[in-house]
Amino acid sequence: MQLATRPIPQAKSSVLRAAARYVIWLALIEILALSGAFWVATQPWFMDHEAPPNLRMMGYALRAAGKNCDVVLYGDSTALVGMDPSVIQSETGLTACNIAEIRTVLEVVGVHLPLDQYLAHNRPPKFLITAWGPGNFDFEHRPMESYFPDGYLYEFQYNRGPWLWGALIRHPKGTISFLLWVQGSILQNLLNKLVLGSPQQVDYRSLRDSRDGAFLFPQPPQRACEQFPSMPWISPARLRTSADKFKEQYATRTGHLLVDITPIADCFVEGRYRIASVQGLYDNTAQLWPVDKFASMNIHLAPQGARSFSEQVARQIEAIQQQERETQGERTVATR
Amino acid sequence: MTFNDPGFIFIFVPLAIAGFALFARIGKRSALAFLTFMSFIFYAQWNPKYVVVLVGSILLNYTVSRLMTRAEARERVQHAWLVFGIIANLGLLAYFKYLYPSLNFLVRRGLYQHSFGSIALPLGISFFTFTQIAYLVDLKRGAASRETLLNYSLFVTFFPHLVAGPIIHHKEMMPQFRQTEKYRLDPADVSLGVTWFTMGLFKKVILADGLAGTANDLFSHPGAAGALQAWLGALAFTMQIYFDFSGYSDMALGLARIFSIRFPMNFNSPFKATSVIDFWQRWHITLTRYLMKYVFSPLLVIISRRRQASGKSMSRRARATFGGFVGIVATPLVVTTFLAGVWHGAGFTFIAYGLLHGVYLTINHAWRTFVPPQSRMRNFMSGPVAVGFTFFWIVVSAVSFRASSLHNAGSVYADMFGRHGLGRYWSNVECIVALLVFVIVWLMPNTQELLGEAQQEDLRNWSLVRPTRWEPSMLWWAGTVAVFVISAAYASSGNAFLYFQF
Repeated sequence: MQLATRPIPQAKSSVLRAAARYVIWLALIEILALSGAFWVATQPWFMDHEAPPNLRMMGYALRAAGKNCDVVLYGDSTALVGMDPSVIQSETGLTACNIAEIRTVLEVVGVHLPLDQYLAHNRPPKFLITAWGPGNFDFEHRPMESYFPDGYLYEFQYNRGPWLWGALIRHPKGTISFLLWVQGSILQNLLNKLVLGSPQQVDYRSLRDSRDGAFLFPQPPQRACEQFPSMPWISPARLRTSADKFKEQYATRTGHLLVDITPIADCFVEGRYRIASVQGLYDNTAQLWPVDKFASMNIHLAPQGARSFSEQVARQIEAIQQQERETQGERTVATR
Repeated sequence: MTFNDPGFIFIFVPLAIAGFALFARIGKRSALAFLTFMSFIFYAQWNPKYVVVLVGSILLNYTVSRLMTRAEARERVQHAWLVFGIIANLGLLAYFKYLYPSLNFLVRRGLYQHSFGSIALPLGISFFTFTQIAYLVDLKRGAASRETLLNYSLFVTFFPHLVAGPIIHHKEMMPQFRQTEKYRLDPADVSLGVTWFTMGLFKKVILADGLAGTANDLFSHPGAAGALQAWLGALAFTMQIYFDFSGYSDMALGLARIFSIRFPMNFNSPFKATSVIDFWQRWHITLTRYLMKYVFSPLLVIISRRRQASGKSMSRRARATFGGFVGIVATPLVVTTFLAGVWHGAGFTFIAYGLLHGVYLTINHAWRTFVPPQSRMRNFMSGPVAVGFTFFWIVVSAVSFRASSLHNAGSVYADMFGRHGLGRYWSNVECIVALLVFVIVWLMPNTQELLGEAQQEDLRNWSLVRPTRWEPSMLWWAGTVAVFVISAAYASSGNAFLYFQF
């Protein structure tokens, strides 16, 4: 009886060993895939070929190394699409470039990184004009506290170093999500190529680079307000404190620093309340514009709206220059 | 945190498995405590504040269960505690799920002048409340035993079933935790569980989420589509919720299996059903079972007593008369499906969904009662014709389940039945996707049949491929790795399971 039953435990133990190998190798393959994604995400090849086309435009602050623009335009996506350096150049005669990044990048890398990267490779600009949407933007948001693949990609491509490795270990969930996103992007591209062939993609990076960093929205103007879930706005008090700190930090590294708010569509009810509550916190007036000046989300200006807003920025610069000239004149008279 | 969240898959689950293996070496109680702790952590990831609601609900029900046990000899006292427990549970559910929507409805109708705002619905409240009501009822009936607080907490919170089921009876889970061999990770169960979970993940992130866009296009612009596009959107949603819930159920069963715990089947190829009665024996099986046991059957008992008191019969012949059919079959059915609709949420669309299924089931029972078994009509309405006919009505009811209001549901129905004409034809990609999902749901074996986990009592299904049995072989491994790597790449915390809102 014992002899008859002996092979059964042996068979069972071989099944158990096979099952253990099954799980261990499955885990190892996935670890290998994640490690591969980690390496791939640091390669320019991934940015150039596999990342979603609209993300390939980011990192203009680094591509503008040595441009030494007189006017540096900076901010979130509303600044990226709303401030056109060519308009400012033609209105003021000063060279301008736009190094803004979208919110999903800035929320991960922090407001300071792209600006610091630009300033590290260029001489201080005469004017640093920043513009921000009336959303929940937080100047004091700590890097890597939020997860957006766009921001992680920026870090992997343009800010690698011991600090990043430490941050990735402290935020394992974000790290894994990002590495899976990298895998997903590669698989999606592969699938698109298999199903659709190799469709012609818009070269967003060249589009941006050809306009000194501005990205004029390639979409027709909005005809009506878009509806969104309610936004978690940050308090005006916190906004004031963080904007003051931002100014304090950069005032010495630039000739003049302005913190502006970009306009919003007048039909955007929630935004209207927001604008009323932040009036006076910025260097310009918060404005409500007709919806057809916008291209998306009631806050992203269409090219026509971008021209109007850029002209306003140019007038701000001219006003400061005028003031400077007057002060200079008064000083000269006083010296004489 | 949801099952398709990368943080859950790559951090939480490995930690839970490793911790369980470690604490099991110390002892049974520490392993149970660890699993309970991890289940609370899992719940807290969604909203830490609502852990208080979960803990409060557990403490309340545990106290009631103790008081019921203490009053074992005094039937009336025990009954009173049971009634109190049920009312308290339903009260909690009513407060979080129905109070604010109902008050806001009155405000919208101009019947009340006050702004009530809204309140976040604690994740899985319908599930953990129903589980606990069932425990109290079973305890009263002697079908469940008294538990320690730790065991009871694990029974309610065990993370594979906490937020969206399956709705489990005490006797289905707790006896398993009493077996000593469960406190050692069994590689065969772990690998089978991982494979099962992977299949569910694929259904969720590739199939369900892949179909969501087409469904959302229709339901975000109701009343604007041609008939073909409207049918495509309604079909897409029907398939989306199928793969979403089927995927969730597979993941729940797989996760439990990793710890060598076997959950009851919750899903058995519902779109292969040949009638709506058959459909409900295959879709959300544990909810159907729950409603039959704790709503339909008690209602039938009440009806039976009333009929007997008034001298009416409950016989088969009585059921075959119009009055008898309405009283014995239609009334408890419609009440039960109405409550099933309300269970899904506070909205007229859910009520409409429940009532629609009440009507379907009544017609189905009338068919069985009044149409002779050997008739030509019965013969015609069988096999693929019956499957297609049933599926058609499921798609129709899915519209009212998904629409944000009855008005929007009406607009989608109007679109489906040609208010704007046929509209544009489906693209090649849409046709291929539709064909693929129909092949999967109608012609392929389901997950438990593929894994060899279908039970004797499960309804048999026809499929093009022979059912297989999982084994730790190279072929199964390669398939699982490929499916896991692809599915994980699309895993995202952004796309919650549709059933998480209930």
